[in-house]
This record gives sequence, C-alpha cells and structure tokens, in this order.
Amino acid sequence: MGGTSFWSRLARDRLATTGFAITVLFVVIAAIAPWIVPYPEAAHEIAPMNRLRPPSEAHWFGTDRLGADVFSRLLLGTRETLFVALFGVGAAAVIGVPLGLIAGWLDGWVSDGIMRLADIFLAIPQIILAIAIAQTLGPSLVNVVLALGFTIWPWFTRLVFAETRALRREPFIEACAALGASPWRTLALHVLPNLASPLVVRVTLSMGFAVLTAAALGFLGLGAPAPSPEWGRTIAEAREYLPDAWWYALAPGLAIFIVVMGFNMLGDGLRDVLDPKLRRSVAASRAQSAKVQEA
Amino acid sequence: MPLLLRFGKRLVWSIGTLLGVVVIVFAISNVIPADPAALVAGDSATAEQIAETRARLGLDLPLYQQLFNYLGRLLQGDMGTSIFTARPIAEDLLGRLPATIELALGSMLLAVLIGIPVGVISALKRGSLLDHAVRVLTVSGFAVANFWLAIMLQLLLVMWLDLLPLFGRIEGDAPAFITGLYTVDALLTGNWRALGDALWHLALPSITLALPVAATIVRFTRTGVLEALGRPFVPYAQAMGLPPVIIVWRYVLRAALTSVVTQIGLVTGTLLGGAVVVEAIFDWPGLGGYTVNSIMMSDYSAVMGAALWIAAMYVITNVIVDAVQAMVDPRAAAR
Repeated sequence: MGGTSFWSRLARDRLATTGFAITVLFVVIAAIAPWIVPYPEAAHEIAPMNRLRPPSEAHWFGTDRLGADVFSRLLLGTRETLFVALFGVGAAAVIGVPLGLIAGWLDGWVSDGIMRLADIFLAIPQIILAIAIAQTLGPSLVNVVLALGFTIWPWFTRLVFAETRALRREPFIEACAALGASPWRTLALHVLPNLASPLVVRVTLSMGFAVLTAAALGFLGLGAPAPSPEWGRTIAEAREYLPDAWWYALAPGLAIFIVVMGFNMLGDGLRDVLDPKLRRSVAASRAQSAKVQEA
Repeated sequence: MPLLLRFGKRLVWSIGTLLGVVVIVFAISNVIPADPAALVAGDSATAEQIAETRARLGLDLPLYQQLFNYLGRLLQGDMGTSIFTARPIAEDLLGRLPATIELALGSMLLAVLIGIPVGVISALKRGSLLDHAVRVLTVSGFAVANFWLAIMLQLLLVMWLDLLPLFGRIEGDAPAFITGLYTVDALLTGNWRALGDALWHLALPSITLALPVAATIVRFTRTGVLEALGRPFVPYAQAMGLPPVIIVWRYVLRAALTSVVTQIGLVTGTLLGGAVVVEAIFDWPGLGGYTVNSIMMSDYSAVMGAALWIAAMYVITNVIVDAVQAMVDPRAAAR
C-alpha cells in the first residue's frame, strides 16, 4: 500500500486528483480573473457592432447579445459562483452544525424538535425552498447565499447528529465529563474535531449542489441583477438567441458542469480516503465479484 | 398487524410533517418586502383602498391568527384565490396535478428501466472499461444543471434535428378524461393517435428529469449488487449449481434492491424539484410551471399552495415506498 498519509492516498485516487485539480484551477481563476481575461471590459461595456459573433480566434466562445466576449464573462462569473457556493455552504454549516451537536448531545424534546424541524425542511424539495426564500428576500447575491444556507443546513444537522450520538458514549468523551468539562467544552474541543473528516466530505459535496442551485436561481432571475456575468443568468439570456447563437448558451452550462464535476469527484475521493470502513468493504466485495465472474 | 401499525405511525408522522411545511412556507411568505394588499388593490389604489383590501384579505390580523385562519381554511380544502388567475388555488392545482404526475412517473420509469440493468452490469464487470465509463457518466449525471440540459436537448433534438416537439403536452385533442394522465387515458380508450402524440411530447422533459435519477439508481444498484455478492448465499447458490444468470438477476438483485427502493423514494424529491424548472422550460402545464409563474408574479397564496402540494406528493411517495419496502424486505418491517 505504499505511503499511508492523507495526501499520498488522495494522489493515488485518479477521480479525486482530477477533482482537486479542477477545484484549484477555478479558485485561481476566480482570484485573478479581472487580470487575466482577454477582454476585461466585457463585464460592463457594450459593443453593438460586434454582437452574436460565432467562436473565432479573437473570441473563443463567440460574443453575446451586447457584443461582449463570452469567454471573458465566463471567467469573471467564476467569482460570483464560487462566492455564492462557499458562503452558502458556510451559512448552512453555521446553522446546521451547532444544531446537530445540540440534538446529538441532548435527549428529549429539544433534540426531537431539532431533528423534526430538519425532516420538515427536507420534505420540501430544496429548489422550491430556495426559490421561495430568494424570491421573498429579493434578487441579490447575498440573498442567494441566505437561500442556500436555509436549504442545505438540514444535511449538516443530520450528519452531525448521527456522529455525535455515536461518539457520546465513547470512553474519552465520558472521561471529559468525569474531569468536569462543561458540555460546551466537550462538544467544541472533543466531539467537533472528530467530525472533521465527514464534515469536509459533506462541505465538498454540498458545494456542487450549491453551484447548481445558485445557477438555477440565476436562471430564474433571482440571482444578481444584470449586467452580472453569473452563469445561470447568462443561460437565460442566451436562450432567446437559439438556435443561431448556440455558443452563447453552451459555454456557461459547460462551466457549471466542470465546476460541479470537480467538487463531486473531490468529495467522492475524499470520502474514500477518509473513511477506512468503506475502503475495506469495497475491497471485500471486489474479491467476491471476481469469484462470481469466474463461476 | 405490526406492518399496519408501522404504516399508521408513518401516516400520522407524515401529516405532522405537512403541518410543519405549512408553517414554514407561511413564515417564509410573511417576511416578504412587497405588500400583497397593495398588489391586489392595484397601482392606482388610494391608501384607504389598500387598507380596505388588507382587512378584506385578513392581512391586518396578527400573524398567528392569519396562520390559524389559513390552516382552518386548508382543512376545508380552501387554499385561497389566486391573485392572478382569479380562480380558487386548489382548483388550479388540481387541474395541473395530472400533468406533473404523468411527467414524474414517466421520468421515474425511464430512470428505473435504464438505471437498474446498467447498475447490475456495471457491478458484475467491476473495474472494466465499461464500469469506468458508467461511473464517469453517473458522476456527470449529478453535475449537469437540468435547465441547461433541457435547453441543450431542445437545441439538438428539436431545433437542429427536428425530432421532437419544442414544448407542450399534446398537439391534437386530449384523450377523454379518466385519470388526467394523457398516456394512460389514451391507452384506456384505445386512442392510439393521442397516445403517440402524448408520448412524443413527454419524451424530452422525461429524459431531462430522468438523468440525475438514473444516475442515483445506477450508483445504488451497483453498490447494492457488490455488497450482495459478498454475502454467504451467493457461494451457497453456486454450490447448488444455479446458473449465474439466475443468481444475479433473481437473488442478488432482490437483495440489492432494498437500498435502491429507499433511494427511489428519496430521489422523488430531486425529481419534483427538477420538475419545477424543467416544466417552466417545456411549458408543461403542471404544478412546477405554476409555482414558477406564481413566484414571478408575487402570488404568495398560490406559491404556498403549490409548495404544499409538491411537499405532499413527496411525503406520500415516501409513505408508499416505506410500505413497499416492508413488503419486499421483512427485515425492514422489523426495524
């Protein structure tokens, strides 16, 4: 098995490595987009003479309805997408993790109440909840972040609840109580660090979901208002120019696909690396399936 | 008896969940910045007229009282009147329910018919090129934005290849009303023209919605089959001389399906959520399109009603899935 450190195991997983590379690439793009795009003025300036030009050497993904370079706007839109996803998932964790810790630690009606509330939120299809919240608060990036936070939090609560319940009776946690540590101290300093691995996986996988949901909100006109280069909004604009200006609608959808793919592959890879139980069971079933094949 | 008791418990629990959904949706629609009374009264209304409208709609009462009034009316099947269609919301929704059910069932059927065989084969050929291709495709299925997929399919299959209709549910006359599902009604009345027409329109939105669901089913079938293959009954069946085809498709698949059935219940949520955007794109006259329209027009009672119905469909599906699960797998009933 060679090296057993986290990084060397991750490096051996091809999907995870690809996902990691994609994620890093887009983070870098988001960070330096305004300085590297071929047409930095594409975000706000219009060039009516140049509108709806097909892809060429000067414009890799053609130009849009206002004559702006689609590729440049795509790169500039990376910023909004990652911002919204990161803070949306962050908000969900800020709501969901403490609730999960409390529900997992306590018994009785507080715990039941929190988990019932999570169940109820999960009974409403998430996009509807997100649409309702974003619509209620009005179209803006910050409101998309809030909508994502209120939509995604139950996943964190469920995860943290189950893990906390499992840890609660562990000797090292009982020892904390015996030494006189307060429940808050025990939860924050001894339970929470043990949840790091599943939380990292959950955050990564939620990022993909958040990007998709944010794009759908943008598509419905509930994201940042024009002239934002947000990808979902761009697809909605481009729809009116089909089938002629196909590049206009194609490009932002591909960008969404690649980013979400990156997060999902990274998340799956992290789960394989961070969860030793899963690794073992997969190895066992691999051996068994080989046997049936031979038969 | 325990089965019945379990079912009853789930039912009571579901009603509680729906009650919670009403409260949440009500809470969300009451932080709105816009004033619904002003919207109803119109642009040219005076302050008195708006106040009068507010009192007429009961919007001047304290929130908890508005909630109780809403719940009371809900129990009588009254969801209020849509501000924009000027019709009872319950009637609007009821008229649009069959279209959504038809779309959801069609997509689910498609996803199951594709997902289960592909998942089984992928598990049997574990590590092969085919398995890797399937894995990449399933991961891709989760990563595509459904509204973009819908538009790209429209571009490719409708605008370029001219194979399918761009939107709508049927071209000619609808078949005689029995269930409201055009395909089923056409089958029942032997109206083959309508059946073909309805299926032709159903194809594109179903394919769009089925993709992520099929990906989920492939994934869980594959894992389930791999797990089941590791169980002692497999070498036993082999020792008994059963042909591998029977072992896999009859015994292993059955053991693997328990987790798949649960997932089918859970992905109904994804499907219904996806239907909201996809219906709007294909102009499919269902609950989803209605929701989007109501949201865009700030018709809050209609949004509340639609969200409640969609949540109810989801909860009911899961009660049914739970019952099916208990019948298929005796261990689930014991849990």
